[in-house]
Amino acid sequence: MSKTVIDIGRRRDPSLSAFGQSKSWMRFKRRITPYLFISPFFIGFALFWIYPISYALWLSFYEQAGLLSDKVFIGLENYAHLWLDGRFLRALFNTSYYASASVFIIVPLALFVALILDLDFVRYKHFFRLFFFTPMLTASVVTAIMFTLIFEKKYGLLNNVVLVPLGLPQLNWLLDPKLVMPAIILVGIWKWTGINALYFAAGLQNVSREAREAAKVDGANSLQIFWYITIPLLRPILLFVIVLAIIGSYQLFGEPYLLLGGGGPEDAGLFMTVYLYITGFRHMEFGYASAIGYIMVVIILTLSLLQFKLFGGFEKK
Amino acid sequence: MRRELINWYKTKYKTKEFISKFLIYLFLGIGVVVTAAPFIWEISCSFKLNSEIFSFPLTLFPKNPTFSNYIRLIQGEEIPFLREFMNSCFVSVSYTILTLLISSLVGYGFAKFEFPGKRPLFIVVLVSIMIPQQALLVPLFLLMNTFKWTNTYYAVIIPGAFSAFGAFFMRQVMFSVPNDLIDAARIDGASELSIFLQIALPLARGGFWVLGVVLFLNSWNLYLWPVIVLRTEEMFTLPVGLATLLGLYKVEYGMLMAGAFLATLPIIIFFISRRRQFVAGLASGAFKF
Repeated sequence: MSKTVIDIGRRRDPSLSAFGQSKSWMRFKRRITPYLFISPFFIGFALFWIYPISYALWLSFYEQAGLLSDKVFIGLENYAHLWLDGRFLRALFNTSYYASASVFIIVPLALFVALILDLDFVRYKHFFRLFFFTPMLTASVVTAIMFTLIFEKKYGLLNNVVLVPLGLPQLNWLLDPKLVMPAIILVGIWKWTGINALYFAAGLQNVSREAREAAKVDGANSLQIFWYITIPLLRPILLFVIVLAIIGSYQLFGEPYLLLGGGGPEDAGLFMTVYLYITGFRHMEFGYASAIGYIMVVIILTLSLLQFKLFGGFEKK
Repeated sequence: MRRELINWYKTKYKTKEFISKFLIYLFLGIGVVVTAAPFIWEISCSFKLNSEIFSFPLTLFPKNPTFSNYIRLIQGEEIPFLREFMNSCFVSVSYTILTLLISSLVGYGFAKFEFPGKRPLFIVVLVSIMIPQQALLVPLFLLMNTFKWTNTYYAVIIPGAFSAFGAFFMRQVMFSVPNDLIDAARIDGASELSIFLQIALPLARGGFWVLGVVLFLNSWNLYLWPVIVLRTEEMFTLPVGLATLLGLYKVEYGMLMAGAFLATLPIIIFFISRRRQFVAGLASGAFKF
């Protein structure tokens, strides 16, 4: 403080500020400072995000096969063709299948785990919580590698440890078109239940104990407390988790792609992102792949905005 | 008679409670076994030869434990493993540092200044978080091609470093830096950059670490983008390299498991030492799915 006072005292030229710099220069500096802070991000963001995302839209109206070939304007034909493309529809179906499995299996299971870990008498809660989400720390490639030996037909862990002792036949998880999706869903359950349980656990901490205890005193049983108090209070977290699970299904790539070596038998395990990768980078159909990308944008953006709306958005601190 | 009834009721209640407790612990126990099984099987098989992996009975503890998978992997028999491991380290560390730097600059700018255009710019950032990366793959690949960046570290590190999520996250973190401190430093004649470096960054340390952990993990595990832009074995990051092992004509499962285990090891060590940041990062919903 004292330094400033002395500086002002010394000042002679009225057009100069306390530090001997001209006022207009100071004003300019003050005005430009925020832009200097944000510019490194926004320059890169413009180059590596805004430009590509706009270019993708433009490209989706063209036909281009291969890096060297010419672009041919075809209007909306890529988008029209998508709905006649059996593989795309298959991918859309599989992805939705997986998404509904996430919503109806992983999410309730995670909620159940979180509720159990919320019980008073359960000990080592912290350990369980941390332990259950370790699977999600593994890379998708590592997950796929681990599960190749688990789904193996003759020597795999799942068949020999779970199915055979129960007197069930050994199943060909990764080669039987009917079993491919359940196999991928099993991987999903293993990998994502823990993190969703963690979200619910965080949410449960906000569900006031008083409300639940008051209901108990009033004679409500645990099922009623769960249904009429816990669930309504968990609604925002529930929505968040469900939307995230659906978005996650559309982003799924490494596990199905590597476990099945692409789309799997008869494309039974073809996922959206896998199909985008195959059209874009194996067949080099850049225009068509961009159109697939934009369909994903539309689906995910709709879901996110829905969540944004129901949720009150990111602004909550 | 009445006392008997009460006793009967009490024991009934107790057994009921006992059974429910038992079932709950059973459920948790099964959960732990199921969660751990793939990891344990991976480690177990990494010490077995292919001949033992594909023979009955399946053994949890290898009959003839061998380090040959690890040795052959590190010697680079099928893939240049050490090189790829170092590639992954280099890429992840430089990506994390670069992104942290850019994100905290922009986060500070958004949190602590008022300027024309702030709101629209911020909305663009928010919307971009919601748009899936998949839509960018083709155009970004073409851009990398124009830059002649394919098969370089630049392609893996730089485009992702301008992370909208990072910007958003650091903005939230920078809100916690008290304005009074910043004003006081300004009055004392500190330059804006030194205020940022000496006051804001040290105070935002906690959030900085959380974001760092998230970025490192995402980058270490990333497969889809590197597999598109990297072409040659010696440039591959670890996930891409391991995936090529899976595609070999004769798959060496023991080696594959050893590689998968070694690829997870840094994350596990990181996780144990930075548990709190991991949990905070997870809770922010920042991990890629």
